Amino acid sequence: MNHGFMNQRRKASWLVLLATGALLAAGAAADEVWIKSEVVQIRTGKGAVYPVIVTVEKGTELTVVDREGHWIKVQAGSQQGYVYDGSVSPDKVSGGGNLLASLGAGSDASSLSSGAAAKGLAPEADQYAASKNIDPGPMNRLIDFRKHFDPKLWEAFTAEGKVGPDAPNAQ
Amino acid sequence: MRRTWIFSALMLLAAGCGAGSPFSADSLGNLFGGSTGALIKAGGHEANALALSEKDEDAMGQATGAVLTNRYGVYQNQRVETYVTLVGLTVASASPNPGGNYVFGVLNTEDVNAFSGPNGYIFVTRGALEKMQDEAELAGVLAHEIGHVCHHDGLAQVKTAEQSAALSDALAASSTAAQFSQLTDVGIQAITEKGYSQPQEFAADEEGVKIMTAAGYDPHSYLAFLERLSKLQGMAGGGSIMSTHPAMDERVVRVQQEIVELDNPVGAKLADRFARSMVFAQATP
Repeated sequence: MNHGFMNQRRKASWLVLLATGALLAAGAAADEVWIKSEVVQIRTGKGAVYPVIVTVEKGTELTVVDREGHWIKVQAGSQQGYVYDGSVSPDKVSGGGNLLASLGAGSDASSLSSGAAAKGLAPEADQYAASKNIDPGPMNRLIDFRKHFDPKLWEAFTAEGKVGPDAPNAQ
Repeated sequence: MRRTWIFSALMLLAAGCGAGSPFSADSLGNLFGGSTGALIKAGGHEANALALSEKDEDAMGQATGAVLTNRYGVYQNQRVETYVTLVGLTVASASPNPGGNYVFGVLNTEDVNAFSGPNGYIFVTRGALEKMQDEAELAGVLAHEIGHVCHHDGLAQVKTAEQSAALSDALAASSTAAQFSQLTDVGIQAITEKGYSQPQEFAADEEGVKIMTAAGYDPHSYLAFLERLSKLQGMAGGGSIMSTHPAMDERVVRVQQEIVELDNPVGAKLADRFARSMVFAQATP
């Protein structure tokens, strides 16, 4: 048996494996998507019930971490969050959105969605209400109620009733 | 459901109900903080563009909600509010825009109705809840409203109003804040007095049935609720659920047909859980 030849073959196999691994890693690193909807919330979980990490705009490039059904796990600054696959494109989308700018504009991890919603009525809505002598209190309370809604409550609710997108009866 | 907001559509832009919306924020311009003064042809008149960014749309949804909650009051019953939000989030999770903004509220009126403001500000009346018999009926009503939002029906009405010479002239002469106010007024008026078109109501029913079925609810319950409403039609004016355009009987027939086309799906009704959650006597004034 030619041990020198075998060693060379082993080395070659390792090189092929390493090269394949590098290519796969490069491919994974290149897995990007672009926001195609006007505004999209990156959330901590797969659904509207989960808090928003940041709101990004059309054209924002996002790095894909994982794909889970119709949801895409993306890197959002130091955190990872989810976007629905219907709101992104695998092809570059123009639009001016920029993740760093969005993060810099104010991460709203604990908010419902936009910064405005997180603070209750947006200034324009608040001004409208004032001009019409409308009490913004009830709407502010609803927004606040929703903002602090516990996702675990919803998870238990859907599990108990066997409803939701992952329910056995879901069509 | 005449109250489906003009701005539902606008808000939907922000909510992003499905890709490829027929309307874009760009088509409306940027009312606040964007490029103003771009001229468009509207009804034969040149006017400043209706410029609505996504934040403007969300603000319109909030303004709509502020008007509704002041007009009817909010039914402040934490158990009922929590339950409606849970059901709403459940159907929203199976909608074309499962990651959007959704706020749900219960309006304190005997009127049987439901409304959707731009970007997912959705309301159901206490009167409507009192006419329901199981959770799937509530899911169907909320899914119908989410359908309006996803179809940008409100925006379509804003765009129709935009083409009115009188409005475009008024907008041209107004400040951005005044424009926002005028557009919001138009939306509210359309919702409460004009309502959605027949095709929009049919489409919202169709979308709603798909959404609730995708969430595991039995669409036959929504059909049963519509049949019940057909007997009540005329009790309440405005609002999309009680829309008289088209007649409820015709909506019932179409929903029946859609359920058959979906192979008569069987889903959860959850009448017991609904009964446990609808404890109206615990409401606080």
